[in-house]
Amino acid sequence: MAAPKPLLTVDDLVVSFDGPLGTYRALNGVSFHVDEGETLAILGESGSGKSVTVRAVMALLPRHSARVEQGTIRYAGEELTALPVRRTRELSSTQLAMVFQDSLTALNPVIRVGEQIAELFRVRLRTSRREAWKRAVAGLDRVGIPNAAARAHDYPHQFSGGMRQRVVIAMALALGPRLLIADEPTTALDVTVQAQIMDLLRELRQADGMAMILITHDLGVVADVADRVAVMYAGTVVETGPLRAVYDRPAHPYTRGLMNSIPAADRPGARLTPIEGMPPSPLRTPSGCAFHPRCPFARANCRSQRPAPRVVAPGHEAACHYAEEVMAGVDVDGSRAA
Amino acid sequence: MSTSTAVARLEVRALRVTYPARGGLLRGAADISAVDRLSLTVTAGRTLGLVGESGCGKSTLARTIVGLRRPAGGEIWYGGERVDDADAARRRRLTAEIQMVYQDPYSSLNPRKKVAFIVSEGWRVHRGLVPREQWPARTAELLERVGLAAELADRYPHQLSGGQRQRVGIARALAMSPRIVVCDEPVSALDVSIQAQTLNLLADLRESLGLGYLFIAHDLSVVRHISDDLAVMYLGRIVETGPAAVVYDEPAHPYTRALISAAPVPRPWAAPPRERIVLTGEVPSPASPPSGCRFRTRCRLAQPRCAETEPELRMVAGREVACHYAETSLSGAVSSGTGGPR
Repeated sequence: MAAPKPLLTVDDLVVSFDGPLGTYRALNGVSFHVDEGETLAILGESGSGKSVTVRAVMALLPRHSARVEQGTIRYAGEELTALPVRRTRELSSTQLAMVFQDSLTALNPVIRVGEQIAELFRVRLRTSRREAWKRAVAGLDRVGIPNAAARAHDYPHQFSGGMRQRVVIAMALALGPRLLIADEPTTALDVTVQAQIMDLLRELRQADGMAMILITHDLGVVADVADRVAVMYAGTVVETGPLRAVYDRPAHPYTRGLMNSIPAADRPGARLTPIEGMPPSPLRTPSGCAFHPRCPFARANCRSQRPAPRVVAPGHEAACHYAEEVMAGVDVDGSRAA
Repeated sequence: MSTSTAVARLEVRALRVTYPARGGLLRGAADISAVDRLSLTVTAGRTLGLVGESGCGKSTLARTIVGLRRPAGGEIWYGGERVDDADAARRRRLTAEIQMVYQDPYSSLNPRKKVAFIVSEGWRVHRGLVPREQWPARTAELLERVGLAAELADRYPHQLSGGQRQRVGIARALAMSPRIVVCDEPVSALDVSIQAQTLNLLADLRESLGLGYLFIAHDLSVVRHISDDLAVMYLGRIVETGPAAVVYDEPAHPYTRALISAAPVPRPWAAPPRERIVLTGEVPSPASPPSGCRFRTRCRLAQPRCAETEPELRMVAGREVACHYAETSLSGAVSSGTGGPR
């Protein structure tokens, strides 16, 4: 098998924001890549920088308060941070596409959904009005909206939450992107509808060979669809690797803590092992390793030296001075020594 | 406390809660039933988990139990007394022992009051429960009990994290020395690591204070973790209820089966292979529930009979289930193309 080509590479990205309490770094050296056709899940808790990362890729950061301080974002060989926003937007509307968590605010409430999709074909591909509409209907049909020709005339509020998320997906896929970024696409949906949407994304991705970045805090959703995982904490990627390697043998204490926090199906009622303390405020990121105040493995050098990501197994990287120890001490299966 | 000698029990019998249907095409239409002929029992020291999707009536049920809504029918009993038709004074006494923890730790705390005020507010209403000179000491004790430093009594909610706020919400409920606590999605707004801390705290409090929980959530792994018994709601009715291990591990109602199969498992490769049922469509509007069985429009076992007669809860293999074809469903003998292991 030929080595997969990276489609998107983010390297040492630093983004700072001007907030009411001062300037802070939302991203503090984020690095990861996505290969052609693969699904990368970015996993992390609120405030870890997941959404800021993908908004930086899509050139959607607020212009006045956010700054890309350093780092590179390369898409198919092109350096996005060096391009004018206009060109990034053009790229990001044809080759990169994004699905947001809240489908209600992602759609214009006073324009028929068919028209919102048709507009993309007219503006970006200069197709005729009639052809654009036809393609919009076909797009709605493809994402499983029953009676698409008639529903294209409806407004967003006339759709249920799940159907509206399908409309948003149809819009994202309209121009045949090579990379789809889905930011918590099912968080606002019920479990049974979530299953429908995740199945749909999986099917569409397989049919088109499209790559996907899935942002979520739900470890179960990740396990369902991802090929690889990147775990974020306090504005950095602390661990990346193949799904099962990261889940079964986490090499970063934060990942290990996350895995131990979730209730195990086979041991109902057993005491959970939470991560002590809480995530740091971005205004006061701890020195050295940002996780050290909550880390059971922390030693003196963790307070002073920030660990760089390093390879711990093929394709598996972790930013921890004691990754080997973490990997050896972990048994997420529950047979952990008492 | 009046009921502390016997095991405290909260009983909901054939409860019906309605919303007026108003405006537009629905003007003059019958009221919408959010909760319909629903019965359940919460016992001190045990946890009844209640699951269901948005709009199924879980939160309406919770709010009715703690007295924030009036039922349109049915009865609520606590400690041998009927609560829902009690006069104000008696009701006040009874409801002190039934407290609620809310989902959203942001909107459920008054942003203009300090933590000390929020925790002690119930004592202002229920005079005589705790003498005023003991308030500061009791507040400190309660904060410590929920794992917060006593200094936080002087803070405002916006100075706290989500997890800390939820602890304040729990301390406020505990201030009334309740026997029964209704927890409406208490951890769903919290991050995974904070969620685990909160679940451990709730389990500890149940143990040390002998509390009974009605634990409402949509996250099945969380509900399974904390519950002794489970009840599954669909469009205002309970479709299946029984011991958590029975209902979760061998669900009999087609809806329960679908709900459990749809919930993503963190490490699917380590779990036993599961059937995968993806329901079509979404929950119908409670304003016009389907005739007969309310689930039949999305059910792969539905027969003509399901449209005609609404199934009542009946005992099947160790749990109560409201389905004409529960035995068929339980045996898994389903030839529909949507099922089967992945």
